[in-house]
Amino acid sequence: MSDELPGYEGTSLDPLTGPAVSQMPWLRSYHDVVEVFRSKAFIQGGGGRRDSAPITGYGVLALAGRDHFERRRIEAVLFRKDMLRWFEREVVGPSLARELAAVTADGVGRTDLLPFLRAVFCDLTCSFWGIDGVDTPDAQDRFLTVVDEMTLGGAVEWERGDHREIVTQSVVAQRRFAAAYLAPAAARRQALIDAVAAGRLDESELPRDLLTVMLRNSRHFEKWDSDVYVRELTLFAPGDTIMRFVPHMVAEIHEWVQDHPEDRARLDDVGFLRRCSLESLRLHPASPYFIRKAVEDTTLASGLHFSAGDYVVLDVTRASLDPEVFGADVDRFDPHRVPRHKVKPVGLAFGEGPHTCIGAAMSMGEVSARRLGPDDPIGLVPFTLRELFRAGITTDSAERARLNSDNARGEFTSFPVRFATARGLAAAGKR
Amino acid sequence: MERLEVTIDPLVCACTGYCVQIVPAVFDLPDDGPTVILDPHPPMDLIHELREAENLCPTQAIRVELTGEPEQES
Repeated sequence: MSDELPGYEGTSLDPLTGPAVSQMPWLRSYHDVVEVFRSKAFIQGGGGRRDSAPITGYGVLALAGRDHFERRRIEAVLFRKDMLRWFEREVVGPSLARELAAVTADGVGRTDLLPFLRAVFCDLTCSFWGIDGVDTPDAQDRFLTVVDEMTLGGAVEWERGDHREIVTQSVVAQRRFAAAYLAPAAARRQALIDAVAAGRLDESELPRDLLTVMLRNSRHFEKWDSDVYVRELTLFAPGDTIMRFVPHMVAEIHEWVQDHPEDRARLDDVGFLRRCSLESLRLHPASPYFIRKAVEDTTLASGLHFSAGDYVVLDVTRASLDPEVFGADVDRFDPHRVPRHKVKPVGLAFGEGPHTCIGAAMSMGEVSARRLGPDDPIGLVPFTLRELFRAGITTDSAERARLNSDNARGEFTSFPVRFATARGLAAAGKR
Repeated sequence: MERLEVTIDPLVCACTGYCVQIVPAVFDLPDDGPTVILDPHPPMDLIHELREAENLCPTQAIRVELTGEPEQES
């Protein structure tokens, strides 16, 4: 790892170059935002001030054009249906069963959903990244502590604290992570890759994880620098992202079925839970806004003009609440909502165009109206919600949930719940 | 006779343009989206490229299927 954060100054990883978002125009209409997302006249790479660049720079989110397409092609192997099915049934299913058994063992089933989900999704993060040996509660806790410190800097744009201080702490955490976790995991994987190249091991025996994929494509990744591996891992913390969604969903679904008891029986229906998840994500996108830079003069259909070099902020939160598209009661949770236009029910929470979230299907499954086959993945979020509701999750009326006031992402820091029954335990990990 | 059938859900399509880059003979992306299919029954020798386009689509809007009966060996 690079020794000091100031080493990035003057490079494209300098965190403090470019205009601040407060100095850029903000687009808030759904149609304007979609048009810019799709337009070839705007790029994401180098899109203005990115304070998180030392933590996630040259990651898939920051690239543009051919480099971005090449990166997506390389990493797509981890998002194939067989991989999504494996993550769902062989990784998250058993983790959920284990944590539900632990929390209901006292017969009371009271816990905070945040640390509960943190423990559940630790295995997913390790499996997706390719980190070995995090297999005891103490090891999980040590691992997640350093992961939390790394990922905080990766989303520093939305933090209200001192950005340079946060980013510096995250760079230090990435160094610790690289020494303690990444280096030994990479050495093990490189030895296996070498064995395949020498004909001593069959390719099918290689681990199926991001680290292996990156090492097998080192020529692509090391076009930038060798630290790109840890920065790319930091970008892909699937459990960290899903943890932000799920408490909102539990709260909104819980309230919805109290007001609409006819839907209570559908809490076991993944199609209904997926619709609930998409509607909740429309209201609470993981990333509140994105930045784009015009690379040529262009005029949007609405008449807004941008010159080459202009920056613009795409406010996906407001665009997904556009009443012209989603109806008059846009800020109300309604899983049966039918948008006025032919648009995705999730709004723009996954973005649109070349930078559409690579993990959209991993989190939500197939959102097409096509009937799912028995081997199709459900999506980690509907899957998790189904298991939580099977275990009788309810918000804990004796304790107050708390929102994080340190950032603009609208995420919970505490979400007390109770599990009314353990009947879902046997089903976790199975369809 | 077995043949390829390519479909796309226009409501789910996120207009990434990846499929167009991989199989331009089969997909096109107009400026105002969504992606359209130029050839719903492309030749069999495109199957690997079509499978990649299907896998690369982040919203799983594309489906590539083999339809019809495989030819019997005599």
